[in-house]
Amino acid sequence: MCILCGEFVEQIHWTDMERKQLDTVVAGQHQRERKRSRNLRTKICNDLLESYGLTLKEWNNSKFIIMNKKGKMAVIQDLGQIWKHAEELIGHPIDPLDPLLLQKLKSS
Amino acid sequence: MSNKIPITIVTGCLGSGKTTVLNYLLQQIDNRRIAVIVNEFGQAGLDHHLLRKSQEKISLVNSGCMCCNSREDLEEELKELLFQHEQLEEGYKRIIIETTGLADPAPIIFTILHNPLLRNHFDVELILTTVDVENAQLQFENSPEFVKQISVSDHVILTKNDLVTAQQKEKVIQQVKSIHPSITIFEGNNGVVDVNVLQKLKVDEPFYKQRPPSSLNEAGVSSQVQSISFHFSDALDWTAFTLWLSLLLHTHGENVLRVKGILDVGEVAPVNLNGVQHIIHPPEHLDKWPVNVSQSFLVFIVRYIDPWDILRSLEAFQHYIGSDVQLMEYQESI
Repeated sequence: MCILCGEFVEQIHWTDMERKQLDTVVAGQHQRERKRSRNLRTKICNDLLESYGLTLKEWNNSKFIIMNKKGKMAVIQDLGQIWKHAEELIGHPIDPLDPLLLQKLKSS
Repeated sequence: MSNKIPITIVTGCLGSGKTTVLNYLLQQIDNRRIAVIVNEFGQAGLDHHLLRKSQEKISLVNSGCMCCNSREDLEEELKELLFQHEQLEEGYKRIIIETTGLADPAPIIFTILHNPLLRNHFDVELILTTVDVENAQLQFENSPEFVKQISVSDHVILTKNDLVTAQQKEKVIQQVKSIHPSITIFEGNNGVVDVNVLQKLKVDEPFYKQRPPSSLNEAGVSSQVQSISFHFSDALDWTAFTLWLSLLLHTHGENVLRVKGILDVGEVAPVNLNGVQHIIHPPEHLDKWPVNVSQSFLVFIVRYIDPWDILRSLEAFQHYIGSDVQLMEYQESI
């Protein structure tokens, strides 16, 4: 369960299984890496979402917030949900094979 | 991971010998703590006291495509088995699921990985497909499920070998390999098959081999299944790579029949990635590099998408991912 918002986290998305699961984890042990990877994720997502007028924010090491330019937003837990909500906000799925999008990514 | 009960799924077309093979295997191994779930009626039943039948009952989860259907019946059966497992002194050491001949294995994997209770107690370890060599040609042409069964499988068992010539058999092997280049092929005779078929083999690097377009293609069979594999020269950034893959699967998951690979993420040993359509198995951190593998690789089996688009997309992302991507093998339309 998320201790900040009380949301019940049913499953860990596969993209969040970066490290080998250990029996014991010292509190705060991987915090720096975790923060770094969340920031990187936010940056790449923003590079992608920019073309669609969406922005993603990292929130307190716990959630992400996606919003469009009119201020419509959604709180999300993991990558699986980012794409789902982005699709809802834009009205169509983001296609990673779209040549125009790829061209933009390369030039940025 | 190791505490989970491994599940073996046996698929194959109607009449391709699933039950015969399974019957033989169960007699050969110590079957005392193995449970079998069958969901087909009117068959020469398995002579086994642990045999369970389940009726197909499908529940659609929100906004799911065909592969994201949850199978309620299976969920119930597995929960029941889990309950028994907890009560037994030693518990089950393996569960075998025999699917119907027409079944698409993806919903079964989805059911197990999607349910919070089941995903923590079970692990889909191995998928076997039986291929009837005599009728394989027909099934390749007419049955899209058949191609899918092969693409998600780890091992293929060729059955009814005695009814065909060596030439015909060789052709079927070529066809199977052209759908799924790194699959392991076993041969069965009247159900007699190497017991090792139940063991998951070590991961092998798909061998690089330029092949001419397959003969099936020349025969005018139009199936849109293609496969492509890549090498990565350096360690990948897991965050960036999974972001790309999760986006690809979100948008095109229905047409990505299989994705698998061994990925160097900058740790001592690589990560084993395995997915079917929208569903990715929990990535497995290996203890050491597999013997024949020296570099990260990734294999896609796709339909209706141009595999070259995937390469172009990966190339556009490669400055995030932190590694060059090189084409390893490409199989044209199968």
